[in-house]
Amino acid sequence: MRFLRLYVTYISIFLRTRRENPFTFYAGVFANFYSYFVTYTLLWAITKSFGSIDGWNIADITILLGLNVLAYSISGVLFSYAVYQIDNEIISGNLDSYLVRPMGILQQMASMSFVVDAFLGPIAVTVIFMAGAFCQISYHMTVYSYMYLAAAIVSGILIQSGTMIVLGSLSFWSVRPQKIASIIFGEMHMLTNLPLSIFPEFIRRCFTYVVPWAIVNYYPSLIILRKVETNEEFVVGLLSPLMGVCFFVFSLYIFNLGLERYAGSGSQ
Amino acid sequence: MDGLIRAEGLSRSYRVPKHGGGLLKRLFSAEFETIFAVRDITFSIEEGEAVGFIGPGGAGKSTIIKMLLGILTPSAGSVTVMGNDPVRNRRDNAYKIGVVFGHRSQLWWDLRVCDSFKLLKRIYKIPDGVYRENLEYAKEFLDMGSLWDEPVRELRPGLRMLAETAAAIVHGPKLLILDEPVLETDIPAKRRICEFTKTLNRERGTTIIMAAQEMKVVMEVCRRVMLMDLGSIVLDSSVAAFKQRFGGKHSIRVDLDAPLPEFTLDGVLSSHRFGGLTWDFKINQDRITIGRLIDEISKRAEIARVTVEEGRIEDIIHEIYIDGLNDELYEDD
Ligand SMILES: Nc1ncnc2c1ncn2[C@@H]1O[C@H](COP(=O)(O)OP(=O)(O)O)[C@@H](O)[C@H]1O
Ligand SMILES: [Mg+2]
Repeated sequence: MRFLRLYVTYISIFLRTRRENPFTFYAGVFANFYSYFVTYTLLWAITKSFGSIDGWNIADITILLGLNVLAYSISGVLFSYAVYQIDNEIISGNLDSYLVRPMGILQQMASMSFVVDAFLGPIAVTVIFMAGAFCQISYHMTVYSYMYLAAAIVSGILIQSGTMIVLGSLSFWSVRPQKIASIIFGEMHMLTNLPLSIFPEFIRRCFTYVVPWAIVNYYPSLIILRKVETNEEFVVGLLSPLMGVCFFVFSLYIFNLGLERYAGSGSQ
Repeated sequence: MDGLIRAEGLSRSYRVPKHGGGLLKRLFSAEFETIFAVRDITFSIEEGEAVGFIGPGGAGKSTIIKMLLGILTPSAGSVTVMGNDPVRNRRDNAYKIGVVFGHRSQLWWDLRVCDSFKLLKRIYKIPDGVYRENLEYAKEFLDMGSLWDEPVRELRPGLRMLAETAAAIVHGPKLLILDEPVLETDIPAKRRICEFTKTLNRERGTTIIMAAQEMKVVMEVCRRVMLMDLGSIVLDSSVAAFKQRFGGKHSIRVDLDAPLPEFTLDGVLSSHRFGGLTWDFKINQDRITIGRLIDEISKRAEIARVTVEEGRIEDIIHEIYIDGLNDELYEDD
C-alpha cells in the first residue's frame, strides 16, 4: 500500500498548494461543477418533457449518467496525466527519471497530475444527483443491490482507467493520444449518457464488445433498475465487474509492452 | 567477489534512417543503417570505486549508463549490476542506486523542493531515521537551506542541480550515477556537487560513476577514468596516471592587437587565424613554460588577451590513436 501512502502525501501537498492560491482551486472546482450541473439539468429537462426516454425516467437516467461521470472523473484524477503527458515525457526523455525509481510508472504519474480540482466538481454534482435519484426510484434496494452497485462503480473506474492507459500507451508507438482521447472522451462519451437501447444494433454491439463502455453504466443500470429483458443483458450485466478487472489487466499489459518497446528503442 | 558492475562484450546499436539522398528518397525508400552507440566493451567496477566516463558528445557514455540502469536493453553482450540483470531487476536495483541526470529533472517541477523529498520518501519507502539522517547530511554539504521552500521551477540551474543531487541520495544508495551533472551549473554549485560526491565516496563508501564531457570535473571526483570515443573505451586508467600522461599539455589562445607573421619556438606548435590576429598554441611543458611563451610573443606584438585551457579531450584521443598506430608500426618491425 505504498501507493496509497504516496498518494495521500501527494494530495496533502496538492491541497496545501491550492490553499495558497484558493481562487484557482475554487474557480477550477466551480467551473467543472457548473458544466456538469448543466449536463444533468439538460438531461433532466429532456426526460421531463418527453416523460421518459425509451422507458427510462429521470431517476433512471440520472443513475445511468452518474455511473458514467463517476467512472470518468475518478479515472481522470488518477490517469489523465498518463494520457496527456506521457508522449511529452517520452520525447523529452524524462520518462527515464521515472524508470530509475523503484515504483510503477503509472503509479508515479498518478501523483504528478495537477488536475485534481477539475474532476472534483463533477464528482460532487454526481454524488448529489445520484443520492437524489436513489431516493426516488420506486423499489426497495437490497444489500445485494448496494454491493452490486459498489462493484459496478469500481468496474466502471477500471474500464475508464484502462481506456486511458491504453490511450497513453499509444505514445510508445509514436501515436499522439490527445486527439483520439478528445474524440473518445468527447463525442463518443456523450452517447453513453443515454440508454443504449435507443441506438441501432451496430452501435449497441460496438459499445458492448469493442469499446466496452456500456459495461461502465448501461448494463449495471439495467441490473440495478431491474430493466433486464434478454439473457445477453443479464449475463453481460452480471459479469461487468469481472470484465472491468480483465480490461484493466489488459491495459496494463499493453502499457508494459510499450515500456519494453521503449527500453528496446531508447530515447535520445 | 564478483564486482559491483560487470560488463562483457556489451554493445548497443540503433537503426537510424540513412543520411544522404534527397528528402523524397529518404521518405520513400526508408533505408536504415545500423550505428553502434556502444561497441563491444568490457569492464568491471568494484564497490567503493569512483569512476568517470569521459569522451566527446556522442561517444556512448549515456548509452552505457542507461544500460546500467536497466532502462535500455543491450543489443549484444552481457551486463550485471549488483549481481542482477539490470533490465529484469530494474526496480530492485533502483532501491540501491541514486541517479542525477544533468538534463532531466528528478524533482516535481510544480512543487517546492521540500515536497519532492516527501514524495521520494514514500516512493523509496525510506524509514524516518534514515531519511532524516541522509537529508541532514546532504543539506549540510550542499548548503540548500535557502532553497528548501522554493518552487523547483523557479530555481537557477545551479541550485536545482544541488537539489537534484540531494534527491538522488535520500534513500542512501550504494551506487550513485551522475550523467553530465554540471552541464549548466555555475562554478560554486559545481564545486559543491564535486565536493559532496567525493565525500560520499570517502565517508560512506558509495560507489560513484560519473559521465561528463568536461574532463576537469571527472578528474576532480574520480580515481579511475575511462576515456570513450565512438562507442569504445580507448583508455581505462587511474586518474593519477592519466594526469601524468596528458596533464602537462595546455592549449593557449592569444589575441593580439596587430597581426603577427609566422614564427617558431622550440616545444611549441602554433596555428593562427584572422591573418595572424588570433593564435592557438600547444606547448610541451617539459620544453617551454607558458610564461616563456607569453614573454616571447610580447616581444613581437601587443597582447590583447590570453586564454589557457587544459588539453582538450579530442586532442588526447587523437594522441592515443597516434600512439597506438606507432605501437603497431613498432610491433611490425
Ligand atoms: N534513441 C536513439 N536513436 C538513435 N541513435 C541514438 C539514440 N540514442 C543515442 N543515439 C546515438 O548513439 C550515440 C551515443 O550517444 P550517447 O550515449 O548519448 O553519447 P554521449 O552520452 O557520450 O554523448 C550518438 O551517436 C547518438 O546519436
Ligand atoms: Mg550523454
